[in-house]
Amino acid sequence: MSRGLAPSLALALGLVACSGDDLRPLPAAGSVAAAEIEPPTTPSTAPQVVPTELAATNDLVARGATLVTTHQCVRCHSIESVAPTTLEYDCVGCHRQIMSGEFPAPPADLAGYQSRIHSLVEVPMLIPGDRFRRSWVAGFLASTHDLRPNLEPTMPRFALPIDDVAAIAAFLAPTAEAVPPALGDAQRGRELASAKGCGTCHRFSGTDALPATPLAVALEADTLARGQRLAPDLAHARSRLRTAALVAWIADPTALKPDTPMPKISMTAQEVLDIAAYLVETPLAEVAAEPIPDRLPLLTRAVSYEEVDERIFHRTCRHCHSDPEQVIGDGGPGYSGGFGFRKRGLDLNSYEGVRSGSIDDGGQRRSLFEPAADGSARIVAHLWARHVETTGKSVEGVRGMPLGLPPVAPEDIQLLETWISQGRKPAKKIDE
Amino acid sequence: MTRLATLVVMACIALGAAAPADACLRSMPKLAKKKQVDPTLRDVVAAEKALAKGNHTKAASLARHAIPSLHQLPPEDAAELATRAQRTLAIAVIRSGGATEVSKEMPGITSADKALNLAWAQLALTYQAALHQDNVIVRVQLAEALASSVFERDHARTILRDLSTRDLMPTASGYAMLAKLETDVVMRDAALTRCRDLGGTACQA
Repeated sequence: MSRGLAPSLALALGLVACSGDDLRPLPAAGSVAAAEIEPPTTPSTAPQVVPTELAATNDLVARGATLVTTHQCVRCHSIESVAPTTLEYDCVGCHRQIMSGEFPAPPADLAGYQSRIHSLVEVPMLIPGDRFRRSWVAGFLASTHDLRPNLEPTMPRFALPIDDVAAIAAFLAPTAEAVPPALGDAQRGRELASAKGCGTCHRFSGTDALPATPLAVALEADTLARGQRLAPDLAHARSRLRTAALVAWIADPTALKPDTPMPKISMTAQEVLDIAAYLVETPLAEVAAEPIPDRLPLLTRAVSYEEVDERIFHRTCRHCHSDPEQVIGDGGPGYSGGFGFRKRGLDLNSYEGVRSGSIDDGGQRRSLFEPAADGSARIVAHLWARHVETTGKSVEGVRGMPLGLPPVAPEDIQLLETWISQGRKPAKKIDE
Repeated sequence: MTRLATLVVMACIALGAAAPADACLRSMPKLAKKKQVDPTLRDVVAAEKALAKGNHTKAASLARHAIPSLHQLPPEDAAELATRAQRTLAIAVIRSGGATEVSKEMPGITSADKALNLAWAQLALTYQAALHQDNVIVRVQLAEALASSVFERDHARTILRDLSTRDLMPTASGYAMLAKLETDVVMRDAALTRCRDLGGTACQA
């Protein structure tokens, strides 16, 4: 799904999530009115008038509460009021135990794991409430995109039915939206955001960069580093947060979320409204997507299965694609199903598994090496599709892999393609 | 499917499972919930490695040590590891021509013992293939078991041909097995070529 489609889908889902006439437009009065903003000279992605949201129906919220477990959101997120999953199914819990040294493994193994883990450790706890726009949650679930520029993307691109998306969004943002306050002066807000050091952690894509002025409050180095990793791109704030919640968040983030690394910065109420106006009203220029890297030619040297396994299958794929008989847990959503996907029975944890293919929509096994539409092996097409997805586009009929994670480097795809072209030989001593 | 059900019923009754076949099948999810302990995992992995090296007796011994009730269908205790161990034992039995001990009551010494053990191994893998219908590796193991019986070779060939045609053969040894069973010369040569391309030792001669 393209990013262009996402806003309209989000709005549509917002309508689904509410019932009938329970949407109301923002009041036209006050500086928040988008119509009063001078049109930008470059194409803008700024949403126009965003209607406030009324409470979702109880039935929808209840269904969403069930679906966050059914669709395995609990693999990564702790969710308030939802029972946590067990460690065998808890990706983030397992990673955190490894990083803290609590995971029961020999020290040498543990050190090895720790050196390789670079994602799925910092994942926000989900607290159903009134902070996020339901429409944004729905749009994000339907078409995920990178939100935190300094954190590797990990949110999967789900395959959820639209009514499930609406129900989950209703569960996470169940309440009616408070009437937004009149915001302040956007220009003054920019000056304040610069002076208070917001640019130390935040990017604001599509606008002039904020200077990295020192923060107005001193933070421990660890907290600052965590804040920089987690800081969202401020370009999303206007569609992501309800306006009243945005104002409250700027005034005192720890009051809304005690474990947030974002500090409370001393400001007057007017200064808070000015910064909120800057975040909501600043015209956003279209940000050019990173170009898709060039595909590399086949290598002339021999490539072994061990190399491909070490660089791709073992490092990334097997975490979601493993035969449950051979691993702890259910083998991951890429084997047993989850995130809205049916069971694929794909085992990338062994050579025999790689050669055994995966189950298609018709329930038949298909080779990973049969040609895709672009002529490359199916498994290669999936890896390249992930590069395309990071530009906000998609490849018809091919889900990018690894799902939601950073793309596999062209040099590693080159290894895989070369190994395939050389006959997909097994590792030494693996056969017979 | 009727045939499979009959086999499973026979297995459960003949080989020690006290319950009828439906209870026998329903017990698997309960078994799957039990936790594994490291020594069991260690022994099962060692058994699989021994089998890969061609040491059938050691493989069988380790598998039986890991899961003492392995001769029963399904195994009485343990979970995923039990099915792995049982397959290891069954393949060891097949590759030794039935001469590998399944249990104290099934020592595999006399011709009758060996025939019984081979029948058990075939039944075990038939059962496992039914449990793991999506698992290509288990299908190849089933084909290996079926190929040991002159009456089931057509069935084995059908399984392996299907995997070869769809480019789903997991190992070189699968192609080697197909080459031995293949009645069509062109298809036999193709299977041999693919086996050699993968460096399979069973087809180098």
